[in-house]
Amino acid sequence: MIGGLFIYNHKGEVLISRIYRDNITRQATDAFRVNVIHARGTVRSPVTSIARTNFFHVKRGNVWICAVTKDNVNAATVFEFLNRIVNVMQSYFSKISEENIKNNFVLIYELLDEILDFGYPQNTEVGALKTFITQQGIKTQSKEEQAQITSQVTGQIGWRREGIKYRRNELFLDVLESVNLLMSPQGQVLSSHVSGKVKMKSYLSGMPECKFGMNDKLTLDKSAVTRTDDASKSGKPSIAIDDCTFHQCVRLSKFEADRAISFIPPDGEYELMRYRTTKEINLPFRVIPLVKENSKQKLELKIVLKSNFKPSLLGQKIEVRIPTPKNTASVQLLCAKGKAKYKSSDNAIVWKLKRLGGMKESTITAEVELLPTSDKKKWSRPPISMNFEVPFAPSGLKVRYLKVFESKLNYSDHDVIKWVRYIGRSGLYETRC
Amino acid sequence: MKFIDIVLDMKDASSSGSADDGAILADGKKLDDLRNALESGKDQQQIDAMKKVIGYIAKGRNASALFPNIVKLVASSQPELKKLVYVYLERYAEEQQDLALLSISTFQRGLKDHNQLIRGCALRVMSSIRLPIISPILLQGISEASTDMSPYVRKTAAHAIPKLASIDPATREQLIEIISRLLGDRAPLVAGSAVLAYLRVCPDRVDLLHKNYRKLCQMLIDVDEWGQLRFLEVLTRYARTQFTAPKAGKLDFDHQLLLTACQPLLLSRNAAVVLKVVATCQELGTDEDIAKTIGPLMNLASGDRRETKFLALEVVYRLACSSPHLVSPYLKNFTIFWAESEQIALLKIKILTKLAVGSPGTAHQVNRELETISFWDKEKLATEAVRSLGEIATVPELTQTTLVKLMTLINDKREVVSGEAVVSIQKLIQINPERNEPVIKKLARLYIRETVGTSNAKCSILWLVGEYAHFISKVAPDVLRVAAKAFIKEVDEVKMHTLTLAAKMSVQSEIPEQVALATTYVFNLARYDQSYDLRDRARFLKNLIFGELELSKFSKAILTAPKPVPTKVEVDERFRCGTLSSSLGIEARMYSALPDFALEASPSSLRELPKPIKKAPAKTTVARKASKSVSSSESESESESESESEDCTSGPDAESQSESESESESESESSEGEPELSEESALVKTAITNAAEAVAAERAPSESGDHAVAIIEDSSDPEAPPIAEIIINPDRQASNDSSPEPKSTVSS
Repeated sequence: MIGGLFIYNHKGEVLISRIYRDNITRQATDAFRVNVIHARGTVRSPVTSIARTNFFHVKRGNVWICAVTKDNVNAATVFEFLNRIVNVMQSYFSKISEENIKNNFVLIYELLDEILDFGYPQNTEVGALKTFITQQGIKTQSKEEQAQITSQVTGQIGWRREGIKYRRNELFLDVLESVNLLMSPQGQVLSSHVSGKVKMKSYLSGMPECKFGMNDKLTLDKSAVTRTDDASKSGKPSIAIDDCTFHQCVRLSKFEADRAISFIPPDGEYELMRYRTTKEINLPFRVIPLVKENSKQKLELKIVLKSNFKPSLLGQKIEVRIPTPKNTASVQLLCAKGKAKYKSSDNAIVWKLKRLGGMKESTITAEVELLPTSDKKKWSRPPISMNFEVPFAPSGLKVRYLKVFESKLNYSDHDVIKWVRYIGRSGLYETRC
Repeated sequence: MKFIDIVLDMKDASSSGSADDGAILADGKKLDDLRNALESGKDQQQIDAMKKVIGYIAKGRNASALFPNIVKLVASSQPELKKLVYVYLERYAEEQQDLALLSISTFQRGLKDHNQLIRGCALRVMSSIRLPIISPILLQGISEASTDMSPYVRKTAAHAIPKLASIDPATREQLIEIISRLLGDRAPLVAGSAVLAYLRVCPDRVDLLHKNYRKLCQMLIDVDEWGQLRFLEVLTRYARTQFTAPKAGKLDFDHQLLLTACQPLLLSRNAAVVLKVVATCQELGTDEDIAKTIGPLMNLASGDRRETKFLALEVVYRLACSSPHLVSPYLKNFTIFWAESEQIALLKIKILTKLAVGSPGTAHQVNRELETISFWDKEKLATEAVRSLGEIATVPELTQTTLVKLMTLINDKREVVSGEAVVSIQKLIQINPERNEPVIKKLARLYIRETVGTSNAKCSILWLVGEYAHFISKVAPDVLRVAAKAFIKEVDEVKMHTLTLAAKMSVQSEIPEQVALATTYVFNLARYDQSYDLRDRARFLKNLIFGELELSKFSKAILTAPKPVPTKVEVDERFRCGTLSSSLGIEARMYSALPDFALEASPSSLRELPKPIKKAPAKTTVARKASKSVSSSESESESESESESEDCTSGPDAESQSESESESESESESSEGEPELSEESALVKTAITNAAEAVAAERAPSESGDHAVAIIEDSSDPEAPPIAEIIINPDRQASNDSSPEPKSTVSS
């Protein structure tokens, strides 16, 4: 499998090198630096083959993490594993930066020993790792702790240890969604989807059993069949989830059978599920572009931004990026709300609005003066892109319930304090013009 | 030299002062400092020094000079120090084999520790030190650990197997025996690693799998994600060799079992697992099974991680080639965003093209998308889009609509784009010249009107006109006239094609006078051109056509010979989907092709578990019935409630069974194994004692005496249990615990 793992900083200096196989030499580190990190201008492919040695890399911040192998491997496995390493490191020292890696290199070596034995990926569950690898080095453990590790390492529930106690049992549920949209100049939706995740922070005592419910169409239909008298419920909006994936703790066979999401949660923060919807998406914003090319030296742009959600809600951090031709000489801007600026380095007008209420409309007009060029080619009109954040789930997903059962300790579902939050963000949100 | 002047360990207060002068390890003073710290006997100093040493290794510098000092620390009771020493040993043991042997005795002792983590760790490090000489000891260790009570240790044993196999191939037979035992293990933790060992050491020993096949299928959902990947690989191979090719509704019971078992994994969080299931379904399943995997695949293909997205799209591309009807409902997913990276956009264009070719209903949408992209300011994407339009146009019913788009693109200002458009059209016409006569005419008129901007396009048109002059006998002379007029202003490429056109025209059966005049004019100009090539070509053609040579009779046949139609580049399907080889397009080391389906399925009786009391091979039919009912009832109970099935896999009876097994095994082995070992590795042991004595002598003044003695005695006979007891005891007391139970295995 993986023959070696290197971590570089942005200059290409080696921070960590761990070699598992004889056929990977130390020259490989140089080969990657010269051919990939220092390669100029070209778009780097995530898989690079240099002299029959294959390099897989991911880049996080300023740090390159690179796995090397000569063998035929499952490429997806390697990337998945690299991402997992990133997650593990993040949970140990929050941000991945050159500084943090230098300060923690002993820890990283220990982690690598544990999760990558002879190049084969192993258990990468952070909860389990944290019981026996700590930042302070290995503690001399008491008997009890050792027993805990035993059950952790060997048991079925690798992601939770026993004997967790909290005075206040709390649950935080975040529904995070990113909306992707591609719209044609005529206002027709070419492609749109929401990729969302349910993130959870749980501070619960004991070994609770949780049940999670949402307004998934299939589940609701199923329950509607069983309880025909409950017709009023079917009137509520439900959503069709195209596809979803779950954290390891969710019982997949149960979901397969009756679409019930039940699990024993890990302690602390984790991602419960990811999902994707493509139908009936509530698009929070619409951009209506109007471009007039008056003459060879003049261009008039008028962009209307419409918000399309409940008036009581507020969209935030709105940024609209309007590209301009390369030979732009000067731009005159006029907007009723927010601030707009022409950035010559990006060839774009950036229009920022701190917040915008629902069902509102705002317009920006720009007069662009162009320099005469020898280039006869027409301006190719790249799409207008935008960023935003809204306090609801554009897919329409609603959390119906999250029940907690703990039979051994005496707290019930009512004693748990639960918080739910919805955040919708923009993914790739483009309008062609 | 670039990365030498950085101090790695920022936390280390003692090194902060000497950031610059201490940078080079070869510096004697620095080395002495480290050595003193390592020898100091104080835990904290030793740990600090070790951290520094590991820091040097991380930077790629040679720290082997400290080997003798460090190898002694392996016996330390401080776990943190131990870990650091292990890291160091794994790096340098191969270079300093003699000294590395010193550490072996410590590991052997570690294998008998009461703490399973230490047992596991000892075995892992021992197997990571790649010394051929210790292979007998290692083999012994693995075989003992493979019957350990703790699943964690058994897992480590399974992991050590491929390592040993790579150090010493001679041990393969014994290792296979251990693997076959581990494959039967009921703990999911172990099974994942056992399957790995099987894959690495003996992937061809199908016979080991027969009995475990059903169990492995049922366990699939319980093993950890990396284990699932290996499971799927092994089971796929097994199924390919044992079952016949799938036909809808007529699958072998066991074949179906695997396909059903991998369904839930499509919900996994791990993208690699999902992709592997997709591949498994493609390699084993019917169309129905493949259809089920499309949704999750699309999810990955429109996800937010660049790398997985790319790989998933590659799989989609393959699928779009083989069965476009499955992918076409998801057409919208492949519209291209401006902000997407180039590779992904290119791949999406390829998929769109395949979809349009494969299921013409989508062509309209695809064409529009491709047209949009062809106007983009990204040349690579634009050219690819144009090329794709050309490919779509090869489908007869789409030719007309697509050609119109291509024609407009000829006049694009970007040379590459317009060139690509003309080349695409040229290909189209070549495939079916009779039908596309109006297109040639249109192109010719474009040329006559001098609206063709790029030389690339001009060349293509001139060539086309020359080639099919007999279709457009009215327009062709006009084209030659315009070309001849513009001859002196053109670039060499176009001149060359003008010359060829003139030559081709002049060999036509009946030529108007003007054509003859224009031809002479062109030939005369070419004769006095500056370019050598052009003059040369002119001379050659002139002699061929107007000369008195024998060959001149055939000049027409030579010049108007039918040219081969350009062929499409077919999809690269040499390699298995999802492997590195297929991403790269070249075969990577250790690539193993997928075996073909068996022509005849193996009898399912092979996969039935033997009856505990009697084995009756004669009554296969009865046995089959019985086992079927058993397995069906099992699967029922599993679907009823998972907690129940969890119980029966990890429950107390499994534990106790393995425990009793391990006890009986270890007893029998201790009676037999010991003399065997002492014979086999006598040499090793003497080496160990010698080295240990040497070190002990060196170390005696600095260390407290009794410790050193313990090492000598222990290493001289590592098997003796009482000494092991003595050595374990102080450790245990140091961690101030009075343990009531844990000596069970060792002291007995």
